[in-house]
Amino acid sequence: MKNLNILLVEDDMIEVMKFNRVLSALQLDHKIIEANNGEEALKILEDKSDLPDIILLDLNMPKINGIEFLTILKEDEHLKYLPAIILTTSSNDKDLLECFKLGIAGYVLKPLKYEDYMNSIEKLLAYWSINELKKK
Amino acid sequence: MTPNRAEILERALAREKAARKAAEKILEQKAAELYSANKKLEKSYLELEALLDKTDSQLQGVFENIVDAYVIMDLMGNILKMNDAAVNLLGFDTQNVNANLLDFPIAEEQEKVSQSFKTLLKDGAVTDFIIKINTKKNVIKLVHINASIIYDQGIPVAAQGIVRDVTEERRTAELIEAQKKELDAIVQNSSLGIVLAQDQKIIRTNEAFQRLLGFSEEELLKKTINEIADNSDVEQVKQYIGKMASGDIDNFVLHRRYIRKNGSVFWAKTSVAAVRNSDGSVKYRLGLVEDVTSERERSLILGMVNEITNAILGKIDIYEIANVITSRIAEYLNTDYCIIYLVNKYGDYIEPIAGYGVDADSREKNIENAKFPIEHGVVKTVVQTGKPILTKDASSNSKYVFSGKQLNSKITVPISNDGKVIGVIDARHAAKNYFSNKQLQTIERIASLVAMQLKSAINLREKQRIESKNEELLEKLAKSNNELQEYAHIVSHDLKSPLRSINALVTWLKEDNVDKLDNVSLQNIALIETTLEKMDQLISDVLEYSSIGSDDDELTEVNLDTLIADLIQIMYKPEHIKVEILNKLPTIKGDKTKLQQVFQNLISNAIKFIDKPEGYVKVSVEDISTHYKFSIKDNGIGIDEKYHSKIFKVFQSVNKRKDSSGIGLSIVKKVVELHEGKIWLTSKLNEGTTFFFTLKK
Repeated sequence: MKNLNILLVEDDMIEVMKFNRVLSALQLDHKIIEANNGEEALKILEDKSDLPDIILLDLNMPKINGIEFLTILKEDEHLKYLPAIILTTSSNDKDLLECFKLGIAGYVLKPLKYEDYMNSIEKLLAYWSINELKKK
Repeated sequence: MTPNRAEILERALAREKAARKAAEKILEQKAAELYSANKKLEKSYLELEALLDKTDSQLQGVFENIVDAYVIMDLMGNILKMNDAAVNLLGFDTQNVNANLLDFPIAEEQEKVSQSFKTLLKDGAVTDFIIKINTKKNVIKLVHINASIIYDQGIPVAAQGIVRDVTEERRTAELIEAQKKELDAIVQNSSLGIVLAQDQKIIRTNEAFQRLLGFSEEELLKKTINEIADNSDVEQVKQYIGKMASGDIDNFVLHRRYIRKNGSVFWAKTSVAAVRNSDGSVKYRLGLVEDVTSERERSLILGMVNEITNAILGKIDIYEIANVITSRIAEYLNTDYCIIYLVNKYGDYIEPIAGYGVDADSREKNIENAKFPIEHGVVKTVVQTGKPILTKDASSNSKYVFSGKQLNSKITVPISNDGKVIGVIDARHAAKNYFSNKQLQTIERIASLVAMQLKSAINLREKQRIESKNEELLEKLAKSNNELQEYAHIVSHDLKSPLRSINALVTWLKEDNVDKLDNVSLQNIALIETTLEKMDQLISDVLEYSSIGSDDDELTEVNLDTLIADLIQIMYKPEHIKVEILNKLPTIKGDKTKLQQVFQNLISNAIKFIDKPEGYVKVSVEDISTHYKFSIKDNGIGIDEKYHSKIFKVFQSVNKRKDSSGIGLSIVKKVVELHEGKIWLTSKLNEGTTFFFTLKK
């Protein structure tokens, strides 16, 4: 299992806390880069020398929302290879289809219960830890 | 004796002597004249005698050859001699007969005959004596007689007569006279106006002609044709007359206008015939004049009606129809102002939809899409009463000014359909008393003719308006539905996110203080978690309910038999409850997920409310032609009838349970309705409930 460089794009502070607490509870040593919205994330991604391995993306965010961010990402020559996994509470079919059309690597609904959430995140990260990703 | 007296006597004697001398001289003169005359007489008598002898023989020849009947009779009337013509005339077979001429006249003429016979004897001649005779062949003839006495040495000895049969002649003359009278009667009593003209000069007219023009014969005889005819047709007439003069034609017929004494104009069909001199030149022109004003009016009306009917036939555009009507009416009324208004259904607004004589600019601006409240005036009265109004003089009304012209005459006619005034025809003219009642009636007829078509056009326009409005509404609805859908998702997301946070935070509280919390606190935290779950479910259900029917999922063939069997398989069922499908469920076209939801919801509901130690849920189906009727029967607690209509409404849960959001049955109902079905139930408290629902095949 390798450690991942994870860009977490999430505007909800508690969601960020949840994610971090899950990592520490599971004693996973992934590197988390936080961005509060799409705009911030794009700024971080400007540094092409230090691109993340995967992006975990919330959909409902202020300023540039998830889908807008995804659109920009997929139009970029370099960034379009980054796997983006949607992490959201929205079960809107339209959003789901739109995201897959734009090109996502996963769509995970946030469960209500924290334990279920922890479970989901554990599996998600385990899966991406064993994946071959684009060399930098 | 006095010298005076002797002197007087002497003078008297002298006078007497002189007188006697004069008388003697006159006598002498007269005697000489007498002698001379006597001599002359003697001579001429000799001559005459000789002449008579001579003519006697000459006469014999003439007598034989004379064409007319010639008869010689004695002074008693006995026929002495007659020629062949007389034999024929009197009806004899031969000249040698004994007959008396006085026997021939018919009885009624005897008196006349004896009178004229006396005249003959007294004067020696009778001329132009006309009597009726009865011939030997018993034929009544009218004869003309010239007779004279024949003298012998100055003594009347016989009479001679020339008799001419004038029966035919007289009859012809009488006939001609009678015919002339008849002809005169015909001419005078003819309903056709008859006029005889020499060149342009009127030389004779009949009563009808005088009546038509309102002039007396005397007045007309002072006029020319051109003075009584409208000169608009004069060129056409000239051409005809030219052709007539050149001999190309003998008659012609044309419709032209004449002007009455009172100045009014009428249309007449005029037939003109030439009466020619022997050299072929035109002596007179005879004109037969027939007033065709009403005929012309009729044909004009007929033409207009036809044109309007043809023009509006099949037309559905209200403006097109109205334009045809106004222009035809204006043409018929010979005016340049005619408007059609539509009246709204409350009768308080009019909308001009076509205007003849209203220039294109103002039509663009004012006619289409214009509406005026009906506040007062003729139009309002017409709309309210449904009866037409003929305004003869509106000179006092300043509202009648149009394009700077005062329009004094006005016809205002309602267009009614089903007893309701749907429109108004409004025609005007500058002249006073311009329109007639007859024209008003015609416009009324037009109004009733076009009412139906206009009504359907109005309906169509209304329909189109509503349709386009509906389309707009549908578009809006679709848009707002979409927006609502988006909104529901966003709300659901925004509501669900905090629940997740609370859940995480509560979990952390529990984890971080696991040693410090007592049982009660732990129970309370568990309650918070349950409440959060319920809330989360509620949000999901609301979102789902609002989503049904909004997304256009494709309908597929759904095999309910396998679908429901599988469903029952995976559902949670307590040991004591048996769920079974009684007969094979059909395959129907529908939304698989939603149909599964229906069964899942109803079956799990049934399971939930079973309070018996041996419970059952039975699913069955029945084919009812267009639909399938499904039933899901249980032996649960039952539902009070007063809740039956309530339970399908959103958030109406009969039993408050922690695992029930109260939306389930609403979702079921919506899905069933989406499949063109209905849902209902029968239930008995404590005995059980059966839900029925239908789905379209």
